[in-house]
Amino acid sequence: MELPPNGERLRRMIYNSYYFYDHLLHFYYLAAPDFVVGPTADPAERNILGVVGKVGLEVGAKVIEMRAKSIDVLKYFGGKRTHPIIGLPGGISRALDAETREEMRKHAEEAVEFSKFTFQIFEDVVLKNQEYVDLVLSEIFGGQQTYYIGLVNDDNKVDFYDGHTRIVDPEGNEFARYHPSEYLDHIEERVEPWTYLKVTYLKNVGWKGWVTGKDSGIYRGGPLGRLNASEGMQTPLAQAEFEKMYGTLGGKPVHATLAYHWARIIEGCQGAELWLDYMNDDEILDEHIRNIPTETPSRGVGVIEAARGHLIHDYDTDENGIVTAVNLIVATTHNYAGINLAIRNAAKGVIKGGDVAEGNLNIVEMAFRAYDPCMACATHSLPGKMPLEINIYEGDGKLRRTIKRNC
Amino acid sequence: MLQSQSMSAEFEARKGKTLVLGIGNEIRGDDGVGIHVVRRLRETLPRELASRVDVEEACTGGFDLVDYLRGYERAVIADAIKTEGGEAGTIYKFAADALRPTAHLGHSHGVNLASALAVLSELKLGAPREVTVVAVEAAWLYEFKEGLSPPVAAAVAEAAAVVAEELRRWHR
Repeated sequence: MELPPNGERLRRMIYNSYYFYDHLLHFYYLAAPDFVVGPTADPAERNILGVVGKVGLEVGAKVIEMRAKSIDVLKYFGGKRTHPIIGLPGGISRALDAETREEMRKHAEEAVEFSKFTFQIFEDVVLKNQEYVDLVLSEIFGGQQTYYIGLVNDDNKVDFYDGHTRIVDPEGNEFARYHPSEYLDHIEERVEPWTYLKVTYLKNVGWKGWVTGKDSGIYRGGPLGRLNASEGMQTPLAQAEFEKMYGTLGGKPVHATLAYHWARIIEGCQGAELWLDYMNDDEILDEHIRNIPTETPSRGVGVIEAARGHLIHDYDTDENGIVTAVNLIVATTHNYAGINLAIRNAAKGVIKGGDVAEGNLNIVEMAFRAYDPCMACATHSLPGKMPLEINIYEGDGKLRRTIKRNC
Repeated sequence: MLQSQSMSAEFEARKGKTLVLGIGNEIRGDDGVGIHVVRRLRETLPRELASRVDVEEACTGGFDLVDYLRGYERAVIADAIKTEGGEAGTIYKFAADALRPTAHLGHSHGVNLASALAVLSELKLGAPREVTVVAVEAAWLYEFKEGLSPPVAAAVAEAAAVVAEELRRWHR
């Protein structure tokens, strides 16, 4: 069914404000400690408190303030700050009044300004430090030439809410562009005996094992995946930084895992700019925000770009509209193969001769953290006590130690 | 109007007050005990305390805890706990200072209670000056089921009484 124009406009506005704060939080609280405090610093200091110790209390406090202002948007439409009820079949929960719009508009303006400030922080802390630029581009973090996936609008610009699914090959050429509901023609799920997560790959390339390159169906989504899969950003400040990133890191696509952080703040900026664009549009006050559904659904596929990556929900329903089958492929599942390869690369690069010093372990962790994965979402949180077996092998493949729990 | 409902206005209104926060997921068995404890407390909370205490339920964690706790003078957290060899239904009371912040923050869902308090405190954003945890040893912590195990269900009333006693001590 079709949404009224302002039902979709409000949904997009809210979703973009969410993107802004989600990415902002990740950058300052998860990524920045590695760069501002240092990748091999004492873990007791390598956290947000270490960051504010170097860049100032006011920056940390500002992040919390901006997050609160973005969450106010969710709260206004959804009634509460966590698990708000906003999107309804056919539209949205609540219209926007003129007075509230004006307040939200000011918050959106602040968000754009803070995005600019964040680019400056990234410039000062990372880009002006050649050691960090080298780290981003090093083999440890950069050897994975994969395909990339993301939603784009009609102009192939990054779109978080809707559009066409676009996949590019490791050289950046368009490999597929399809309506998201056709995902089963392009993506296949695979079960591995050693993990609770499924592994997805491109059906039309095939599963070739844990290898990268054009002949391997492994692909990545999330912030860097989306930028690689697009031809640009929808808004001017984000587009300028997009061009700067590819110019600095050697052209498109960028394969370096740590570039996820740069891509993330570029996307956060697009979120802020689009949020402001919608707030400046007088049509946002239109009170026709929902068309009431009158037909019983039979099948529905919903695809959005969750903050962490491509998110697919697929439902079948019976004649009463009761769900009979569900398939969810969440962001971390799409990225799972890439995450494993990134960790393997980083571990191979820094752990030599059995030296698993804390600083080296953190460098391996940086490869994981760049994706902001949610393993609970990706495993759908299995019930019961999860049996777990960890095998540790010598470099020559000899089993050195096995650790078991509940098995 | 946004301002009347905004989080900054909400934080202001919390000055001098105490939060009782039940944390848990009701469809994960005993994980939901914190929610049951605060519901019980609501039924029994003395009238003289009602205007000075906010009782909230949170089926969330991570960074959201920063927003729940910010601006309150004091807080009691009711939650489930799993200790090595602990007996289901045992009630523990301890200061939140005893908890350690997340050591390896791998993703944004990984912020724990101690990390949330450290952020509020270090950034001078209105950390509660006292935070007490009242925790009940869980038996069914990983199962998908509604309701509590018998020993944990039997501990709910006493845990609520422990919370109420802490409130009385603070608001004497």
